[in-house]
Amino acid sequence: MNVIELKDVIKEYPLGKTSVHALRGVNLSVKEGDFTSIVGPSGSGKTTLLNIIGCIDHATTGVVKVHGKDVTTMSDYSLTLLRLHSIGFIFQTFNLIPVLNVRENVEFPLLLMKSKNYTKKQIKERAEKLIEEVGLSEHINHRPYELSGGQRQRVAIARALVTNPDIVLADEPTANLDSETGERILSLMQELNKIEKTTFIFSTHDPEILKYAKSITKIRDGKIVA
Amino acid sequence: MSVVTKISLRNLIRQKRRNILLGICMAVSMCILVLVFAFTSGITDILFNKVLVYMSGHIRIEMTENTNSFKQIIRDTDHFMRIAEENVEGIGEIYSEVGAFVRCLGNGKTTNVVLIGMPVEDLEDPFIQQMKVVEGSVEDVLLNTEEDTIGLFQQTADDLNVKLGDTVKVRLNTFSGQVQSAVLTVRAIAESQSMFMDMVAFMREDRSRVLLNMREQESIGIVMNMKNMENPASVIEKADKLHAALKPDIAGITASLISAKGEFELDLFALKTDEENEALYEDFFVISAGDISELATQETGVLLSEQKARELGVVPGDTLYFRYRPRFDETDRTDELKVVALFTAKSPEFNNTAFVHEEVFCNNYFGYLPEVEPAFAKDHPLAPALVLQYILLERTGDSDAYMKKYQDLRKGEWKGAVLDVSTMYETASMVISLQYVLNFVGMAAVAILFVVILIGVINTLRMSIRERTREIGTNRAIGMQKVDIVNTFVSEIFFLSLISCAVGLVIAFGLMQFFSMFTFDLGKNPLTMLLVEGHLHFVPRISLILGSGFIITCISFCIAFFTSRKASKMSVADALRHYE
Repeated sequence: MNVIELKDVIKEYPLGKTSVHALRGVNLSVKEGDFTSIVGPSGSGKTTLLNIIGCIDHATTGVVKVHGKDVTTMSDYSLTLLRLHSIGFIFQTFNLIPVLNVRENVEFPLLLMKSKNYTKKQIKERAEKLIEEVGLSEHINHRPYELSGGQRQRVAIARALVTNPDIVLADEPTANLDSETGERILSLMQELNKIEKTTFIFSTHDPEILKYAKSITKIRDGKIVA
Repeated sequence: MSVVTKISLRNLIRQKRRNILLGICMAVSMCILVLVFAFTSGITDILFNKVLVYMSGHIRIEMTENTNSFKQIIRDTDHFMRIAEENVEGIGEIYSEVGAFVRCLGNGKTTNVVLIGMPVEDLEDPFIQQMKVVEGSVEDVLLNTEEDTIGLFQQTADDLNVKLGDTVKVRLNTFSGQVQSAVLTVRAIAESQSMFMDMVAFMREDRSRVLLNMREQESIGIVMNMKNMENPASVIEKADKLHAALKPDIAGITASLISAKGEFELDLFALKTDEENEALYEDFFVISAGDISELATQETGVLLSEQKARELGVVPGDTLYFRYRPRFDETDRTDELKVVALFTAKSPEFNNTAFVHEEVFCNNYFGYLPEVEPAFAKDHPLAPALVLQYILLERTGDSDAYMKKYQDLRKGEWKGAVLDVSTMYETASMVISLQYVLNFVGMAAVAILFVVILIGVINTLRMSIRERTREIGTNRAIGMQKVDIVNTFVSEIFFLSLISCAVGLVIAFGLMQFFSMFTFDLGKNPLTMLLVEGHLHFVPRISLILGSGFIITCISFCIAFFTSRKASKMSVADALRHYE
């Protein structure tokens, strides 16, 4: 079953009197439980594609379906709820909340659900389980500035997975890490893909980490080339 | 604690420097607002509760006789006090004034003082209580029966160059126009307070009545001071209510008419004989002998019914006497009348009635109120032709109208009494204007400062939000709704403003204490009236403190709300791309 479906997606950004064509008729399907990589050089449209899949940006034209639902017609409120419940994000720059410690950062998305789905105890247990899975139990009360880049990205991975989402989107998750740490992060993502059965889509322009992907989508000049 | 609140509180600590600066801005605003409000409230308190209460009172009842010579006296003080107490709500104190402006001569120096009579039994009087006697004692003045004594404020004692035990000579005009003088021994000197208070000198009320030639039930005015003067303008409504409750009856005297033939009791009224009223009395009686026009010229003239004239055995041109028991005197009052005309009453009710000239009536009635007054229906068709117990003056809104009212009154020659109800807005408008001006200046300064601070707060918040744009983008991407983004910033500012207001309040109270420590010696500068015993006077009212906090919190809330709402509406992708 396809968890993501994109049909003829075009994305244009206005730039003065002209416009930049970030995506030029992208068609893409991602199967549930996949561990797929979007590969392409800088400026090829990887981030734009991930943003559109993650419902944090709108396609200019085309159809974007997440779990069979067309998201192009959904309200901002519904899209936010969809992101909260179904999509996890891992950012290149980690984007942790600096005033919250590791546990609180991981708990954060569950707390945004306003305890409708989880009790406080369940939230705590869920967060601690994921922190343990990413190997940061010893740093559970540390603030982001007390962690290394790799550790921060592990927290981001735990945060992305805490809501048990259908899809996790990772935009160049290893770009700010050294190669050894980057490989460890990818191994972890791969492991969690197996354990949690979550679909992972990550972008990269590093050919070294492509070996971890089950499938690869190549993008160039806003078009899927392979 | 919700995650939004937690993030807000921690962000306050995270951005220490900026939030401390922003907090200082808010605390300074709060401090200034509280200081200015407490200062203006202090001025209001001084003016309304410390100056005006002694200068004019909040509401006054005054009665004037002989309008052209302006004799200010209330003959039956208790009667009007009772009406005031029944109709004015919230009276803190009510008292009758016995006093006068007097010329005071000390050791080679003179000055004018307001000499007031204090009841000897009332040592708990607020005026006495608030005085700080530094030499002698209040008791030495009020309980001393062996000599005529006086209490002065230090400033006046200095002006007169007198010390405790010295004598001062006072000279004054009584309300009846007599020049009186007396030598009084200084038995108390109180600490100077303000320009207005220092002008006051006090003595035993019974002795001051002798000096002023005033009887026990007489006073120069009734003064009411309200409790809790947070809304000074409320006195206008109260005065209007009192004014509406004052309803003068027809003035009359139940007297005995005495002739050689005998003595007969009847009712005396003063009849206006002008053309305007002529038509009125023609409906009730017909002149059968004599000339009624003489009633207008003959100041002792009396108009009798034929029936009563027969009983008394008098005809026009004869002299007779009338006698009645005054309300406040042991001795009967007797005066001469000359019969000017007789009438045949169309209605038997007037057979036992006599009408006299205004002059003889007013001289007796107002000077010596009768013990028994005949009832005469106020709605009787003849009532407009008769003299009232007093003429109730129209209420006036400001001092100009008040002054004009009395200027017009002085032009008339009405022998009887006029009664007036006034408020401090008429009698002491200059003082109230001063309060308005001071309040306005204070508020204008605050407004300017506020705009400056407001710009600072807006800029700081905008900068803070701009720096956290990526954080907003991350939160929105993770699943935070727009409203929670707004709540995060609004809560942050709300907590900051609460803390800042509390700090500002503490600083304001500290500064108030500090400023109150200084003693200002302004000599005879009128600004001394804005001081209490030489110190600045602050009255920090809870309502104003809460109001100040509310204003600051509201402004901060609005700024935070609109700025963060704009940020929350940003595209998530754009926010994530943002680099500061």
